[in-house]
Amino acid sequence: MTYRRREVLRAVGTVGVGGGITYGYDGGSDGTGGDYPAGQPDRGTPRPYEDYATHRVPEDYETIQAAVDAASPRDLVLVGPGVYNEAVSVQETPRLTIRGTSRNDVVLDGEFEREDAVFVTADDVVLENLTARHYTRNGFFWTSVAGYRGSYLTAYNNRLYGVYAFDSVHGRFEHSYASGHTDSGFYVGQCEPCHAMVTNVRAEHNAIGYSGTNAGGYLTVRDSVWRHNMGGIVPNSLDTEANPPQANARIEGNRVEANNNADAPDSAFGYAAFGTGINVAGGQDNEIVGNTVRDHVNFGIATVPMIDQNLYEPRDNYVAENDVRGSGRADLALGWPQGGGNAFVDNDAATSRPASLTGGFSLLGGDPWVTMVLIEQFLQLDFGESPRGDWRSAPEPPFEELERMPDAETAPPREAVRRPNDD
Amino acid sequence: MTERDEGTADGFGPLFEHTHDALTTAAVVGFAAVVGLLAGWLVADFGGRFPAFLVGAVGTGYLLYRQPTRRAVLAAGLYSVAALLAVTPIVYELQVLVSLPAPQRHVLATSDLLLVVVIWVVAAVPAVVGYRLASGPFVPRLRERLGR
Repeated sequence: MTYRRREVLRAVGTVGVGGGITYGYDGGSDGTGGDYPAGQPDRGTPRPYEDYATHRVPEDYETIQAAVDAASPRDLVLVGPGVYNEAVSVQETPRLTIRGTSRNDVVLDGEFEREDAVFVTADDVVLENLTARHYTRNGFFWTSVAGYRGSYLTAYNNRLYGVYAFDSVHGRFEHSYASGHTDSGFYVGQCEPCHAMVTNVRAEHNAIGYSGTNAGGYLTVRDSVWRHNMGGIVPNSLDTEANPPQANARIEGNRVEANNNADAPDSAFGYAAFGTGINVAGGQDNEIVGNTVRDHVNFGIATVPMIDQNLYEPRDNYVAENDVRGSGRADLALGWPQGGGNAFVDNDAATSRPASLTGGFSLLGGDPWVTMVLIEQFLQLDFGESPRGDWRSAPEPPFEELERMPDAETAPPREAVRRPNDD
Repeated sequence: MTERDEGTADGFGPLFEHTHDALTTAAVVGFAAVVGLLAGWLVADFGGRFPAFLVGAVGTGYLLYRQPTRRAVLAAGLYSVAALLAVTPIVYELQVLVSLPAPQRHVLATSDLLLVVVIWVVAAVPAVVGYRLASGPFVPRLRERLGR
């Protein structure tokens, strides 16, 4: 998918016309536009299963895959310390939990040969307390499922994505870490509404920390750390996945720092987002609220147009109460052309492009300079001249800082997430 | 050139020893505003947007109003716009040059060269139009030089 996206993402340009004069807040959006709300209510703790069997690896089974194949729905596959040179696939056992007894010591190793550490197409599968490294596609990958959860996961130096949900709904990534990926550390793509949450995670040394193509609706990315990637948080619209444009995601309470890492690996379009903390690329009705954003070479928070087969202008995005400092070009930015209704309210920011976002005025609504940065960096990427590192040799995670799952050996398996109205 | 015009054509002579008609004055104000806005837009990465606007607008207004004729005002205004456009890619790259540890990886690429060429082509338009205004039609002079 990565290469297809890149092939089609041929140009980011300045087609179209911008709206009229935009001031700091034009009343165009209250942040709740679109088909679905961006945020979501607290769903409560997933309920434990009462009737399940535990399959131990390596005591009962030599491989994780053998344990998975023997398991029934709701069972727990409990994996002891060791390096497991295998690629696990869960396609026929819904509500399965695969858990490591020690996050840093239960390692799935792709040896730069296998594709995905764990590949899931069954519903409500939970992955907990595991590490995945050196896979030629992804670390932990759910696709086309209803119900998923990844908790206390570490994914590093896998080629494409670290922790990845595609075309899936009702999910949660939490207490996880991803580094050294050529697309993004965490990815939620092609879902509307997603009914998903990414919380208390950390991404660094990736092309992009969080990428969310055409993903929105009850989708929250919150309370997480995104730093030292090429680009930080990038909700984006592309024609190469279903349901464009991207709309209705809530980015809240994150710490986004110094995403200017030219040595991060990159194979898709990470460099196009280089040097920007939060970059809404052709998205609509998103809420960017209460984030702390620091030290970006280009922009702290930017909303920009995106051209794929169609032009996607940023529209009706709500950027409020963020604390943005230390940006090279501007703390807040709105590219031209833009679709109107983008509201920048009560942000603690010193500079902006256009000036209207911090109290000045604008002639075009958005600023062509912002779009020019995106175009120039995308062209450099497309010409194959952008700086990048090697995913195979990206820095290893700070293992000692990673939170361990409490009671990993004794806690019962739990459902992936609580559904709305699920008592 | 009239006697009044001659009095203002050299050096930093008194600005208001001559006056322009309303249309020429409007052109001076218009160019001053455009150059001021462009200057503010250009330097916004480094702050000082308003001072740049002020210096650009007032400076341009002063320089243009000193011009002896409407034609000279228009030509100088277009030259000013062209000059600002021409430095745009350099100012654009400055931010990267001053803030990244290995800036050559970011600014010495084909895309950067392309950016320079495209913007210089755009800048050439007002420059050529200004030159045409200042020096008269190209074709007769060309023919004269070619001896036809």
